Parts: sequence; structure tokens; C-alpha cells
Amino acid sequence: MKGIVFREFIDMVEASFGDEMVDTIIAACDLESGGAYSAVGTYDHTELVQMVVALSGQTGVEVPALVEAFGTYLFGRFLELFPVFFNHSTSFEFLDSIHDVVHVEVLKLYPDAGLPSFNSSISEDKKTLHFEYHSSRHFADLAVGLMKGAFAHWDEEVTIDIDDRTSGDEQVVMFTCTLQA
Amino acid sequence: MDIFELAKQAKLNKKSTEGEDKDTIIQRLERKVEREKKARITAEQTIEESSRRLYLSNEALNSANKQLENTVLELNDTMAKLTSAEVRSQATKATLVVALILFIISEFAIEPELEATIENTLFLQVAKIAIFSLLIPFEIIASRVIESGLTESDEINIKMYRTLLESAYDDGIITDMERTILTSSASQLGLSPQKAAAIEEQVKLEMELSTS
Repeated sequence: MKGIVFREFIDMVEASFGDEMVDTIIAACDLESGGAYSAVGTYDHTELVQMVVALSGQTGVEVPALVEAFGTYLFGRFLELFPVFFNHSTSFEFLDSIHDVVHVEVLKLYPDAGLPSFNSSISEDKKTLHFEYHSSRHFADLAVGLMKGAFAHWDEEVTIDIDDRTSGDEQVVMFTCTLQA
Repeated sequence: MDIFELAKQAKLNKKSTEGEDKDTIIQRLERKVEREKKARITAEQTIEESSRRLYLSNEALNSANKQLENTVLELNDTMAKLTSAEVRSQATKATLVVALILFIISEFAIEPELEATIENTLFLQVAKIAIFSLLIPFEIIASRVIESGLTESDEINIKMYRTLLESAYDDGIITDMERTILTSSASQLGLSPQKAAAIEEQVKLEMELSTS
């Protein structure tokens, strides 16, 4: 997983729970990197899982809630760091462009990036988005958080219906997003 | 829910460090500095590796470019040879026709006349040779005229250059590489830059018309 995700996670924990919490969770985990992350590096995604679990243990907040909150935080950060990808007029258009545009750009820079894949389609009346998440890393909650961040950014009220279709090693989740009038 | 909301709920909001033991704070900050330093070193190594990879792939591209240029020059050379071979073969055919006509004239029109008027065999032979020799310059002149006529008409060269242009404009743009090929081809084909530019304008217009 790309270092930027780890850096942002550490920054988020520091901003919301404080310096001490960062120190505590890193000490509680057995991290190959020692908790030293550089945005341009690549690290084992299980390190993030370990830290989230440790954070959950320290704070009493459930892991899925933490991962989702991190997703929303990450959306805000991506928006700040890479505004060029967010010039769409609706969140559905943006989400629909991730697989074919954003991830293509990521792969140009990082050919070895293990990205989740998305099959998306927008209904004709533009009120429904089908968004299928495929990943061996099981971060569908992160995807939910990112989507919620996007809906908030475009100031839209959207309900997400989650249908877990995982049958093998890869997590497959179908999100049906419906725009409320 | 927002992470800050979650933190508030967990009653673990960012604590003030006041009242904390100074040594504890220092130790924690030292660990943080250590992590930052390690991250910086990783970043620097990554950048070193990336720039090395970039340099190497640039080198590979450069050498591939050189090879391509050489291939282009060879191709141009072959093309020029083929063109001149084509011109020569046409000229040879034309010359042969001229020679045949001259042969028929001398054999069937002039010689029977000579044989009828000249009695002396030796004198007859000399006259025949003289007439034959007189015909040679005609043959040479005829073949020169035909050859230069073919070369000056440039038809083959223009056709070849047009074919090149059409394939270069196929994707709508002329890359640097394509430009190099075109320029060197034009000079190999004996087309002046003005002539080449005129042909290019024409091809461009035709291509635009066919696409729009």
C-alpha cells in the first residue's frame, strides 16, 4: 500500500487523538517499518490494519467506524493534494472516473501499486450509481468513508446500500448509491 | 462519522501535554524524530532509485532512437536505389525500342539501296559500317533524352513522398521522428524543400477532407 495512506493515517491520529496516541499505537504494534512512513514508499497494508486495530483497542471505537472515518478524512486530504482529479460536477461522475482516470494516473507513477478495482455505472436518470469494489485488502469500509467524503464535498444527500458478495479471497462489495431528491 | 467526533465520543480528544512528565514528553518526541528521520531516508532512497531508473530508461530510449534513425537512413538509401533502378530500367526499354527502329531502317531501307547501287563488296562493307556508326550518336542522344525526361518528371519520387506523408499524417500529427524521416526522404528523393512543403500541404488538405 502506498506510503501516503500511512502518512495520512498517522497525521489523522495525531490531529484527532494526539501525539501520545500515535506513540502508543506504534509501540503496541509489531511493525516492520517501525511506524516510519514516507509518502513515496510502499508498505505492507497489514501494518495499517494492525494500527487501526490498536487504535480501536485504545479508544474503544469499533474498527469499521475508524476505517470509515479515515476514508472520509482521506477524501478531504486527496482533494487538497490532488485537486486536478476533482473537477466533476457531481460525486457520481467523480466516483465513476476513479477506475478509468485516477487509477490510470496512479499506475503511471507507481506501476506496482496494488489498487482496488471498481466497476461503476451511473443510471440513465443519474440518480443511482452502482459501484462494485474488488480488493484483496478488504478495505470496503475505507471506500464507504471516501464515498461519504465525496457526497459531503458535492453537498449531496445520498444513501448507500451495501451488498457484500465476497466468495473467495478477494472482497467484493456492491454499493448502490441513491441520490435523494 | 467524522474522526474528530469519534475522538470526542471516546473522550480521548487531543490531550493537553501540561502536567506531563518532561522526560516522558522528551522520550516520545525523540521516538517521533527517529521515525521522521527513518521515513526521510526511505524517501531519499526511493528518489535515488527512481532517478536511476529514469536515467537508464532514458538511455535505452536514446539508443533505440539512434537505431531507428539508422534504419530510416538505410531505408531511404534503398528507396533512392530502387527509384533510380526503376528509372534506368524504363530508360533501357526505351533505348532498346529506339535501337530496334534504327536497325530496321538501316537493314531494310538503306542497305538494299546500297547493295543495288554499289558493286564493289569491300566498298559496300565500308559504307555499311559508316552508316551504322552514324546511327550510334542517334541512339545515345535518344537514350539520354528519355532518361532525363523520366528523372525530371519526378513522378515516382513524388508518389513515394506522398505515400510517406500519408502514413505520417495517419494519426493526425507529425512527431519529431516522423519529421526527421520526411526531411531526409525529401532530400534523398531530390525534392526541394519548397516542393516538399507544397506536396505536404496538398496531402494535409486531402487527409482533412477525407476525415471531416
